[in-house]
Amino acid sequence: MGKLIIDNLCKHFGDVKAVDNVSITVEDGEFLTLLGPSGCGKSTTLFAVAGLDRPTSGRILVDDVVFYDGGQQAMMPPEKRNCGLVFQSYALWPHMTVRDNLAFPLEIRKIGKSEQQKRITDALGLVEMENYQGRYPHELSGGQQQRVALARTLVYEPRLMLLDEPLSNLDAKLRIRARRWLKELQGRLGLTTIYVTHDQIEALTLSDRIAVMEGGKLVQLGTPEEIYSRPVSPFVADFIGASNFIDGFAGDDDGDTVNITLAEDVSIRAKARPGVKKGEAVRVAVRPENIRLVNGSGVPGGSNALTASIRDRDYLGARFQYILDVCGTELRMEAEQNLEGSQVDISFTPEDCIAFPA
Amino acid sequence: MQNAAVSDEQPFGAAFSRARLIQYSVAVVALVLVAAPLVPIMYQAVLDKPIYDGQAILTLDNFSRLFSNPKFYEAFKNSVVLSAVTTVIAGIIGVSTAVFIGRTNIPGKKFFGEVVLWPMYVSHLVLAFGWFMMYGPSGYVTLLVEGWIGGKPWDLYTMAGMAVVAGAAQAPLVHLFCASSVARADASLEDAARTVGAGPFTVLRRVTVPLLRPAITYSAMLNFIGCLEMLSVPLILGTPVGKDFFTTFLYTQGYSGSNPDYGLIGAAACFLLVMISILIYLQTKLLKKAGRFVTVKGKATRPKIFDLGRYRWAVSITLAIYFGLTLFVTVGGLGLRAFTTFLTPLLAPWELLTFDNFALIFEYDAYQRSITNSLLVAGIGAAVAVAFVSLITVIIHRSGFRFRRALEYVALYPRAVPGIVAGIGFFWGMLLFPFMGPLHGTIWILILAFTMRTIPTAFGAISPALMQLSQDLDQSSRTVGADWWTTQRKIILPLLRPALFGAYVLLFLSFLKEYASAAFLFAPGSEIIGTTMLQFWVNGDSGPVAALAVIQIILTITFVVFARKLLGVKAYG
Ligand SMILES: Nc1ncnc2c1ncn2[C@@H]1O[C@H](COP(=O)(O)OP(=O)(O)OP(=O)(O)O)[C@@H](O)[C@H]1O
Ligand SMILES: [Mg+2]
Repeated sequence: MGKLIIDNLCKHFGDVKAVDNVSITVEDGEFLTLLGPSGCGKSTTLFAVAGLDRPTSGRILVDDVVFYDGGQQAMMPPEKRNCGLVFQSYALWPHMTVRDNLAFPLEIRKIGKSEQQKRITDALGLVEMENYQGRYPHELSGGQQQRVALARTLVYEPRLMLLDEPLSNLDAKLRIRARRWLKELQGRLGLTTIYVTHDQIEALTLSDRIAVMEGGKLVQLGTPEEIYSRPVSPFVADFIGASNFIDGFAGDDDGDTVNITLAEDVSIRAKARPGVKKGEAVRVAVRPENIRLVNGSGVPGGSNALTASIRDRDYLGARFQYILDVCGTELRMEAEQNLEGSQVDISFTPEDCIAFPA
Repeated sequence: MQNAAVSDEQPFGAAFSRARLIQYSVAVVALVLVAAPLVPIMYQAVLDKPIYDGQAILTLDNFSRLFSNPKFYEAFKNSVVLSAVTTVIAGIIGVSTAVFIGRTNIPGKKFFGEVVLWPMYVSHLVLAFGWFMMYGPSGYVTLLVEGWIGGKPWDLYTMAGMAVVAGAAQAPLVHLFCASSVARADASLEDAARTVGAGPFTVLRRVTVPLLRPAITYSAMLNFIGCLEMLSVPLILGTPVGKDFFTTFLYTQGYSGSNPDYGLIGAAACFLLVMISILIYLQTKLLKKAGRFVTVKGKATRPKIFDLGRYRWAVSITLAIYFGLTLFVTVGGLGLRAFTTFLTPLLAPWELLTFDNFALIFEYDAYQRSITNSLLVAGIGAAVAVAFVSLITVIIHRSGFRFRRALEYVALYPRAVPGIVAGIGFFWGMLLFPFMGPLHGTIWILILAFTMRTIPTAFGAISPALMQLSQDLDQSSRTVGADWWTTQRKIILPLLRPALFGAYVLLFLSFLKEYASAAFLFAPGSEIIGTTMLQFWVNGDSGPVAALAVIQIILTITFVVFARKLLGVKAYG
């Protein structure tokens, strides 16, 4: 009931390629997140699916229904698409009560009064807002407005649910609660969902798959684990999990890992991404959370071991963040101990190091 | 962020969506409405015979006759001089009232703040009659002063006299623009001047007023144009001594006997149109530039109130005298005249008390009808106009309509069409276009003409409110399944209700005031207060003129109070 195909979608604003040849297939009932930095074209993609924005070219299909086809200049207007879009601003109509906000889409679908009331109560029940039917939007808190906005899209059982940073106006605590609740609800209703965010934690916890975008292009599409552990580019590695980067030169490849020379007499082993060639410059990504302190029990077998000097430390409450210096490159690391001295021994496994062609 | 508006095109098959149908219809109606008076004028300007004459052929002769007509040059010169002097007078008065009422501690400033805008509610025709009856050559005050000093104290039938009348009538506009600018002025600039040793008057003169320059420039342009197209003051105070102006030239040519010179009128109207169009174009250019050196910041610093010390009473008394002489005496004089057989300082007014003037009006159907027609035109016409312009506005700002930029030009163009030109144009339109014929003699032709003239006003009143509504509100409505028209009807227009009420009040008042475009359009059965007043005045019956003026003022006050109480709308300011 909702398989979405986005095929070579482009949207240009004059010279700006807001969306550049993006192709994504979202399976029925899947939760897909569009992730990327501000201005990378997430909203534009979402709005193109909703029909609020006319793409420049490409195709958008849902279950073989053509939403947009650049070749045939066919464009279905938004009201015919039966999508549910939750705006970042919620866009609740201020002159209507909560009930009227939900009734509006039902009136358009010519649904009888008693059925309307039943559906409205059900939808508000899903978001635990059934006691607020008579309130106006400005009489609700941010989190409550967000839930009503969601109920307004659920009430008419849309084909697709499209969410544009729906949690960004909430405070940190409420965000975590809303995240869990959203995930649970989506799983229960089985709605095909596209979720837009620039928050990597949201993306990792909520999604079946994540589509990472950069400058209008789709750079990686995969499950959260794939994206996290096998990023295709330094950009993705940095965007998900704020990696450290160390520059070096590729050496011998043993089929599994490759030797990387960082400086004279200093080398590590790392997983190589396609394109890494022997003797050429590479960029190695290591996540701060994968760097361990070497303690009394020594370095685990096969791990990379390095000696670093401590440049700076920040107290974060439960832990310390250290800024280290390894062969002139800055590395971030977190540890619980308040380390003495200016030198420290660290280690990380080759599996946690990814080498990209520089 | 996204496109200016959600597109409303129809996919697959369906050739014409409801949205497009509405958009094209509204745009076509707007175009026809604005072109209806303009096309006949331009056409007549190049015809050798009246527009209804099938034998007429194209010629440029009208223009050569116009430009070789000494009366036209005289009218041109007079209009430009009067407008220039009026603009200066209105500017001085308006800036002074804005600064003194807005920024100093003079006693009674709240009262003055209300009174200063009152002339905006009254038609210039009524104001001109008031001046004529009090300060005219045989006016009550004139004769009174003449008795004291034994000679003619002043002559209102001069350029200076007319400029004072027109200046007092147009000063509130300057006040309105400057007052809002004054209220948002950056207090630190003035504080800086105080610390370097300037006294309050010096600061006002050297810092506060110069900072108003953009507001002054803009309102001066508006007033210059407004005065060029003004009919009332030149007609009431200029024609008695044979002074001709643009508008009176058109008016008297149009009414000259049984055989008006159509070609000449067409050419003159055309000339006036072109001239004002150029001025409006320059004004728009100027305004764009002005924006660059506006010093007002978004920062909400509350401007300080200047302490004028012992001068505060002097300023306050000056203002009181000004409002007393220009407003209370003139309007009070109209009231006095309405209830007396005639007005002379030689006899006490209560010895001449009468209700005959009102009785006359309520005795004759035609006079009575002019009052009910005025109310109908204002009540219904303003509603129709607001409904129509609200559609224009949502199409311009909230649709994917292909020609919405062009529609905006069309909607704003009537600023360049003087009332009298619109009147002549619609009149000829009824002669030229068969489909307009049936409107002759009905109030609908008046409503059409007034609507056309006020599209820019209504658009200006509704637009800002619409632009403040987030696009998300329409877009969310579209995604939940409402088409463009349902979205406008159920979401956008209801949210605009306060602005629509505001526009209605503004339009009601201007429809009630309007007379210039009606002068050529009314016929027995469709007379309005303004046209009936003009007729009485032509016959020299100033009693009924005053009575009608009083009735118009009472209607205005009633409506303004009603609007404030029930709709919560303040018309100006
Ligand atoms: N109407 C427009 N005209 C011109 N450029 C636009 C328009 N709308 C968006 N853009 C540009 O297209 C690019 C993508 O915009 P988009 O709104 O999709 O970003 P986003 O990924 O949603 O960012 P954010 O996380 O900040 O919401 C941006 O560079 C933006 O400047
Ligand atoms: Mg966005």
